[in-house]
Amino acid sequence: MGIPSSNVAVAFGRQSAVGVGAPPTYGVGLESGKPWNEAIDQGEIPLTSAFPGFSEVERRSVKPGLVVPTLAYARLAGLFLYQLLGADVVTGAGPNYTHTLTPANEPLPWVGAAARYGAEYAALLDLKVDQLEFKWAGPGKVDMTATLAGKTIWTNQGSRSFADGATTSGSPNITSPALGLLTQADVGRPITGAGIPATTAGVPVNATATASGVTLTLGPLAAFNDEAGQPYFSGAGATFLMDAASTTPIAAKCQAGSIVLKRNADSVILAASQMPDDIVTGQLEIAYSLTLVPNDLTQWYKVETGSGTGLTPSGTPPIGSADVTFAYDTNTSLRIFSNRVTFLADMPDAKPKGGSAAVTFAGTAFRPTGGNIVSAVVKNTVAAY
Amino acid sequence: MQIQVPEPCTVDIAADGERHEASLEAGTYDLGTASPGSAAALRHLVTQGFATVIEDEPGEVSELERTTGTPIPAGVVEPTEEVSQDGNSQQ
Repeated sequence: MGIPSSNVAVAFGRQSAVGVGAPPTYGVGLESGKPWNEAIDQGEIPLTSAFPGFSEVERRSVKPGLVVPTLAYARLAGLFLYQLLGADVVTGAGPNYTHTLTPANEPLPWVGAAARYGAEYAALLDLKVDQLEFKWAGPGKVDMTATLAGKTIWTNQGSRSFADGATTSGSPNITSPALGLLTQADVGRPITGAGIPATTAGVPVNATATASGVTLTLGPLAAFNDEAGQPYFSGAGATFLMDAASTTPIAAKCQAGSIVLKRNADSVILAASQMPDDIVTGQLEIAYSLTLVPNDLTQWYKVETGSGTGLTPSGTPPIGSADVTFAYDTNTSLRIFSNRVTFLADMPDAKPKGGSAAVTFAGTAFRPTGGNIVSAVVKNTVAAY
Repeated sequence: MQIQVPEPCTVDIAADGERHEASLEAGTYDLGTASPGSAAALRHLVTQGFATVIEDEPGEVSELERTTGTPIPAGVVEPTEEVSQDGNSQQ
């Protein structure tokens, strides 16, 4: 039997600290891509030789990471935005919370991931989001693609087991020399072994590695939580605001678009190892692309002249704004906005067969004095990441 | 400096090279006596519009003065002198 390429999922969780595994809390399927990957830089060493052909090869770096194209699930979108931006203020009372996420400098939080491809598994540790894209076209789903760079990867790390996991009935502790085989990457992962009964009184027993030990739980335990059935965002019901020459955006007839948040994460390779020693983020870049079907060319005139009634091109870039909100319901939404955005737009094409003209406004956000280059407000059921 | 937090919130931020998490109830907080983590959280709440500064106590270095490092004469809201990156004073 081959490897089932549809039996693929990745689950993410926030790490309490670098190097400490996270429970795989938010599990999702992929629209494409790979549940884990390693960018391996290796190649031949140019040497002359007494005989034809290469003679030496070296491996220069191994950079773990993954690209996750999935749906814009409300809880996972919040986690990615929290990791990428770095500051979170949570208000509201359970079960609904409002996360106001704004940019912060390092140190940013770390996330961990547990991934499966058929019966193959991998654990990725110490990840940072390098790029996060939200993309939509029409009233259907919003696609969310996260590109993450990591320090550490373990492959073939499914449910861990140990042969002599002796436990004493009634004791909360499992004592076994074999527990030394467990690592921080095992946090959140089920553990099986001779000392752990499959059931007790008919109820499944599960042992799970935690950051400080092993926890026994009763009842079924999924390999990782699954976001299936959880709210995800769509174009329908969304609010699109933009203005090419005002910091106060106005309603726009948006047909499609994207928002890309890029953190320029750098995998730091030291001489002592091919694996990254650290993941250090760089400049925060925010790009908006809004394809509008406008009633007139007012916004295009604003891009060119700085005014909706301008007659001549402006010598300075007009300062505009963008504000996009996807709403699942009143308690579940995603809003991303910037109030200092410079847009560019081409004139719409002439089309012999007609139809409404579409104009794509491509905007780059800049940090206003004393303000945020971007802010995100996520409403979901997560009390804290 | 007194800071008014109008509603309960949790704050998770990076400040001074470390990450800080703080859960704050609604109420008034003294920035001078708050723990480093809470102080960082309170400052973040003020800059993001979630909390308001009530007043500077007499003799206390104002937040603006603390963050800019520039003494602020009485009655003046903004620093009167800035030092540009090349070290030249600008009025």
